[in-house]
Amino acid sequence: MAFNYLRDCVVGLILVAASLFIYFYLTPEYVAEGSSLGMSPRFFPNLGAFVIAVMGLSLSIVSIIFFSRSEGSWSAELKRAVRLEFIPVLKGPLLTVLAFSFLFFTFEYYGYIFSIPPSLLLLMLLFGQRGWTKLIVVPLVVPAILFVLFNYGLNMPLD
Amino acid sequence: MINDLYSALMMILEVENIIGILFGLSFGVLMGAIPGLTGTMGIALIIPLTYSLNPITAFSILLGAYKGCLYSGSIPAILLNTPGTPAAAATVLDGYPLAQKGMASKAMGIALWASVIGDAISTVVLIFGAVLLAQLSTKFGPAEYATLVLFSLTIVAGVSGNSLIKGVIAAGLGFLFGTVGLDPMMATPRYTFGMVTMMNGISMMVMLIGLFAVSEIFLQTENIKNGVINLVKVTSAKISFSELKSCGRTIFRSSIIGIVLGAIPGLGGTPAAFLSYSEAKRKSKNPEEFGKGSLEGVAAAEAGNNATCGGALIPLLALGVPGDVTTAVLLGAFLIHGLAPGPALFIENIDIVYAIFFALLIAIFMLPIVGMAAIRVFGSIAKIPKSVLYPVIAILCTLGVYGFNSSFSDLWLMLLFGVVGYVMRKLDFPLAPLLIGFVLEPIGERSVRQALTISDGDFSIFVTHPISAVFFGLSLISVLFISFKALKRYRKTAVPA
Repeated sequence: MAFNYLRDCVVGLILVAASLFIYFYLTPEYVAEGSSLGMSPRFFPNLGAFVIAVMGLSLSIVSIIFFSRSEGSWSAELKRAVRLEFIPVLKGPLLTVLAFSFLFFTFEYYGYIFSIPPSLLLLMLLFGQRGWTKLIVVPLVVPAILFVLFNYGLNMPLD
Repeated sequence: MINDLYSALMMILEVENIIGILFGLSFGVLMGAIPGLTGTMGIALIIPLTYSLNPITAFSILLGAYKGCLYSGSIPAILLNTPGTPAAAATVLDGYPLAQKGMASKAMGIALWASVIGDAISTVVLIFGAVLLAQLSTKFGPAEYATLVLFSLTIVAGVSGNSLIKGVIAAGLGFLFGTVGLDPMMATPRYTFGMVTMMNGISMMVMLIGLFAVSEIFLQTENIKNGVINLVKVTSAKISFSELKSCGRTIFRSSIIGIVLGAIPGLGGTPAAFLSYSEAKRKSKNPEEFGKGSLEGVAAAEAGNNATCGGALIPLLALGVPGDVTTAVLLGAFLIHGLAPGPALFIENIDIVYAIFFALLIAIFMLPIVGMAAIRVFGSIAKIPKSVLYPVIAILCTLGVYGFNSSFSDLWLMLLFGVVGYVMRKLDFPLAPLLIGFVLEPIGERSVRQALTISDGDFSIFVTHPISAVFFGLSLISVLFISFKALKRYRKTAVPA
């Protein structure tokens, strides 16, 4: 629990920094200023950034208050954070991001046939499938069914 | 009138029309239940198939599909924690926890029957109150929309779970994402980073699929074991009459909310589902169960969502103004078949209007049958190993998103939202408020700016118009109530507000 309060405190500060980045850089750079008529196009983006900044700061403050009431100590929790105990958990999601990237890249440049079956095989391996039958049959049959469904059933060409 | 009713009834009872309703319902259920596909997409796809059909048969199919997809988004929401439609994101809040407790049958049952009842109530209101409610919806101008959106934003408190602050942050984030694209008044680009594909803003389906489906896939890869998903196989929708009766008041209230919000053009099913959920939680005797597996929560979300069907058809039929995106597609279908929705339709083609009403009534009785069949089919999901199911879902999401706009940048955006959704879930930020903020921002901003343009910058427009003043007052009361509750909880417990 104490670790979560520390985590939330850091997240709150990151959100404040992000909203300042949005307000001082992203919005002036990527949102044109309006004319004198009507509300500025920057008003609502700045309002969103303001809400995130205020609530991010609130999250940090409230987290500090609750952390101080908990039984945790800053040094113990910081050590736990520095040990990066959460890293092994991220291995699966990171590999999945790479698998998705492979899928999108090959789909765009090489088309359906050369992207979907290998990507499906890759994802099945990522999810722990080791049975040879399923690893061969599913990446062949499912893409074929989906191709027929989308191209001829739904009239949504995938070429 | 009796003659018109009789001829309409005889028309709709022809075999091809009955088959049309059944086909439409089945198709809509299929489209809404598969993550990556949507009901709106489905209706847009089958419109060309209806060109050669007579208008009654065509609308039997289309309206059946509309009803089917409104219900079936709850199926993957309950079984896979992945809403099939944006409005089903409210069903996820309690549906998936129920399934995890081994009560998937009950969750599916309450979702189905709440959908049927909500749909039935909204259809009856449509038939008897279309003209009256349409007149009410014409009284909604920019100021009324703006304050209604403000009031709707208070929904965030009801779906933020244990942390209101995190919920508001998520809503703010959704709000920011909603500003991406062209400015609604001046058409200047905002956060498009020079990309033409971003000029239309972020697609709702891309965000929904990324935030919920892709992030769920990431979560499932954390502890990879090739088992089946942790659900009991669902073969039927088992809910007892007493359990359904206990949710009766909630279903009725949520149906009224869905009808009213559906009748207001531009809002759609998502705000209705979330507002129904939020109100149900507020009025419930056991609000602490919401978010942890409450039948009432599922009932409220589904009844509110499905009741928008009749509600959204009210402005469409009576005024020719679509109530949501799907009815906008239906408007196109009307025009293609040579019918002009609006007051003239009730005079020149009253028999077709009555036939549409009868088709909607018949669909109410068919929905439970189609729904039960769908539950049997999709309930077998629990038998499929994770190592096959989730990769196939990943591919389906990819193809569905690509098929929507044939845009590769949508795919990368979907992946980005998948990462955002995953990070939010790991940091205990609720996803629903982000979706609410995203849906409401364009409506709210456009309305506020239009209202201020009309009033020459005078903010009193929001309190001088009667309906607007009511919503403004309700918003203030709601904010005060929420703040008071949050402060009370902060003082009582060690959990941050």
